[in-house]
Amino acid sequence: MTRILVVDDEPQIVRALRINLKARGYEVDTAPDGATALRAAAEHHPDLVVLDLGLPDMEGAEVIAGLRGWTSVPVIVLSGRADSADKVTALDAGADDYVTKPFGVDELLARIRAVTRRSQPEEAEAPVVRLGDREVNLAEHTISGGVRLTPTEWQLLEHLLRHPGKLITQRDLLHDVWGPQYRTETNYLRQYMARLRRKLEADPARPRHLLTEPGMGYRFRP
Amino acid sequence: MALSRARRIAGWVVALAALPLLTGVLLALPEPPLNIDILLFLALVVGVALIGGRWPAVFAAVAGTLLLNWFFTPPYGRFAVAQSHNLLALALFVLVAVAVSWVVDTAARTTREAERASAEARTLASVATAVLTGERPLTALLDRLRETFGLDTVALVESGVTVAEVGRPGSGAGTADATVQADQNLTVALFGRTLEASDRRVVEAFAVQAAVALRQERLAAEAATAKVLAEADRMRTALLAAVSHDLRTPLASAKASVASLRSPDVTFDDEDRAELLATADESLDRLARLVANLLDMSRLQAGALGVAAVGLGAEEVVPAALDDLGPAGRAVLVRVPADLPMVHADPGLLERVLVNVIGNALRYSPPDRPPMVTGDSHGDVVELRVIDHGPGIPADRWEDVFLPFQRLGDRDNHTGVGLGLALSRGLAEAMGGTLLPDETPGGGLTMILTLPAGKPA
Repeated sequence: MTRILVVDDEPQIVRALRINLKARGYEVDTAPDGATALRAAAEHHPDLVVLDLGLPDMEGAEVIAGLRGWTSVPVIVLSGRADSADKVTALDAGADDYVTKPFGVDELLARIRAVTRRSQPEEAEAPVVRLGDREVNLAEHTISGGVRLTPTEWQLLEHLLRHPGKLITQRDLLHDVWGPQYRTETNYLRQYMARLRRKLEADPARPRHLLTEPGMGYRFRP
Repeated sequence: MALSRARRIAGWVVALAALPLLTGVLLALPEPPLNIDILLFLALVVGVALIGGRWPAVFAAVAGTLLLNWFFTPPYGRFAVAQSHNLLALALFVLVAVAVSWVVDTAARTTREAERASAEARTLASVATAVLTGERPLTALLDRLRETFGLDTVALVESGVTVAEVGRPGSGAGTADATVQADQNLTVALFGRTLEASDRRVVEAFAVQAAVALRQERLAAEAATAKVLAEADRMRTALLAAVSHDLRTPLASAKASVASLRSPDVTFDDEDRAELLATADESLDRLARLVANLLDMSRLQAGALGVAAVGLGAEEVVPAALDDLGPAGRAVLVRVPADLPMVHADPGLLERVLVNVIGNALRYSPPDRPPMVTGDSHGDVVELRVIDHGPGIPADRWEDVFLPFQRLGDRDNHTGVGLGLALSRGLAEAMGGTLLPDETPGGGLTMILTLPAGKPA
């Protein structure tokens, strides 16, 4: 059973999340502040942490740093709309995804599924992924309809398709596809994503599968 | 001295020139009939008095008497002033000269006084007019004073502090050449030349008027401030009314839906339950949007909005904004080329601007003609246009849509307070851009969002 630690100082949100997650078969622990959260994480070894950024005792990034010292447990950050800089800080500190308050429960559950899927690497990955009308065979590097991609485009696409629903930050993509010395060259990402959309999306101006989270990263929506 | 210097000089010239001339002419004549020579000399003295006033006239009288005595009364060729009738003649000549020149002096003085009075009257009239009609009466008044008296600088000083000054820069430093008191606290300081006693009266009038003008300007400024405050107050009242209405409405429906679901004495069928829950959910979405807008607006107004601008592809932000708009956003046509230069903007704020502006366009678009978003670049700016084919807005009311809570036309309850465009413009400007309305060719409103182009990283 997947065990989730919910960290928020707002009792109503904690209650709502606890009820919802339990109803969907997750085991739930809760913590009202950062210190309690770090203790609870050490004690229960959760499979996922849902972390509010506005905690009374410490910054969200500090909590993430405290977790990342010893575990790679996925972290989904809850943040207010105005804290876009906080979101980037949290992602840079090692958070896996974010959900903006007020959020839909469906959205949060989708994100939870996306990051927990990735965090269970033993699960076999399907070699064929559907992207709209196209079938992408990741093992054979072929796409139905005779679409051809350059090696860089393949790497980029593969990164996104291997983690359906999961936010892949600009930094991670640059690092993994172009190399460790690339950090701020977001224009490359933009150009290559535009090419991928032109080749794979029905309407490249209104992508349905290869999505941009402006300023944060990219996400493949199956 | 009532007569002008020029007239006095002219009098002397006439006296010195005409006396020898007349003497010469009379000597050249054979035998003057009657005693016309005396009359001619008398006429000359009167003439000099008329032209040059007293002293030339007295000189002409004495000189004329001596000339008459020497040349024209026996014994010729020498003075015979000892005789009593000759002394009497001299006395009469001088008397006539003094009498005539006195009349002339008096007339001239009266004329000059009349002229001066009328000049003063003109000046004072213009002073009063300047105060009553001018746009900056105080400056105009001080300027007039400076011109009228040929001064360098005129300053109005209140309890030692200069409150207004006109004239050559720098010439108003140091000690004033003259000061005139306007009231207990106000003094007019004049620089450039000293003041004649006769001018003081006019300058005093200027000073009093300057005090009035200063008071008037201050009252006008106060009135303007009061008007702004009253306007702000009116806005605040309207805001409070609109906000409380728009907050209460969704809150009430959400509360009612949830409360009825929790009530133990009723059982709803599945359809009703779903409908109640959908109502609560939609109401809360509306509430969330409104609260987000209000918070952003107050953050913006408090200057507490953090703008973290980065290089962004506009063609990537537009779909994200359309996603936020939910099912309605799918209708929007997007014509933003992927090779548009990057914009330099805060991703979150740009998305908020687009959500509000496109949301507004959707609201006023006819169902069969959805709005369109286009992108273009000019020089170092990127332009995003949100084009709708709705009813449009008359050009003279364009600026009104950017005032909070000034939604044009009928109020509907489903769109939140009229804050979206006000907020959008504020956010656009916070990112160094602009948000301007334009007319859609063929009818409708086009919103032009201009943002600085970013450097490709």
